[in-house]
Amino acid sequence: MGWDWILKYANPTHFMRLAARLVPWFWGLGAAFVALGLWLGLVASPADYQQGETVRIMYVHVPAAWLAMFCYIVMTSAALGTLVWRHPLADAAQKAAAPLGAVFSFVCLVTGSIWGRPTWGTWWEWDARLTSMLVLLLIYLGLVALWRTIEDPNKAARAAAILTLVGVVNIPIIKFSVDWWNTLHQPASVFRMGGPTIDSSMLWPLFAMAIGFNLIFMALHFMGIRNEILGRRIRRLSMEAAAGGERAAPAASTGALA
Amino acid sequence: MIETSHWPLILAAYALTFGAIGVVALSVWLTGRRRAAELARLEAAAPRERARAERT
Repeated sequence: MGWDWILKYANPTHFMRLAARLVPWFWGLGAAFVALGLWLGLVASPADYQQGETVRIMYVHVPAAWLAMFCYIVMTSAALGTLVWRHPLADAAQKAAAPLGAVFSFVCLVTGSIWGRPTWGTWWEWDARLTSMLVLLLIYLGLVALWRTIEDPNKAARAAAILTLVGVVNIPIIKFSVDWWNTLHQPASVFRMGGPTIDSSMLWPLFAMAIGFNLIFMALHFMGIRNEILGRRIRRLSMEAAAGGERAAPAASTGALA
Repeated sequence: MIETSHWPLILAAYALTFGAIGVVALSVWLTGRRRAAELARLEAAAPRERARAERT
């Protein structure tokens, strides 16, 4: 009984209806939170006593980093759905998440680099946090390439699911790299034992932007899943049309001969 | 000491972030529109396809 609603929305047709209802809300709320985050981050919050104004880059860099990792967790759950239940919606969720994760990883790396130049004096440093984040971007790009290389969507989903499950080992490495190794990147200052070390005047813009980014990600992910379901329907109808044409062609030629 | 303004870097970071999100959103939306149109075309053609197959 408790799982009935999940089974209902795991049906692609029901999911399409649910997505059509939810996506405008995700966009609207996401835009409102991002607007609030922009005002708090660029206008209302103070400059940092050490970093100066560059601290404002953190309000887009950190949510992008969180989202890049969250997206991988979503993809890992979908990969389990593909391998254990062989559910087509799980395949679509995996495929739709990979390019989004790649974009947020890229944004995280580039904004971090822009912040690093005035703060650390360098655009790039091969330290554990930066390198493991680059590895995450490369895994996302590898997954996007894998989906494009294998033509059969079921085979592509299984191959991508296995690669996703192998790559999930990188997520704890990213999270704990600043504790395990001596890195230039600062240690965790928000999600840590003992609570955040950031002042609330900087924590609120960060949370507003993070909520906004998450809602936008959910809107894009739902739209991407919808696109994959449409793509599968197009593929099935095209194959049916081709099979119908093949059946019709010999029948027509037989008729002409008779 | 010359005080350097970091606002160009800050604005570049924000422009890149929202530019990248905007490009992805546009790409996903256009893909959806194209696929919905393609599916509607195939669904409209499917009954004709079946009728042609039945005639021959």
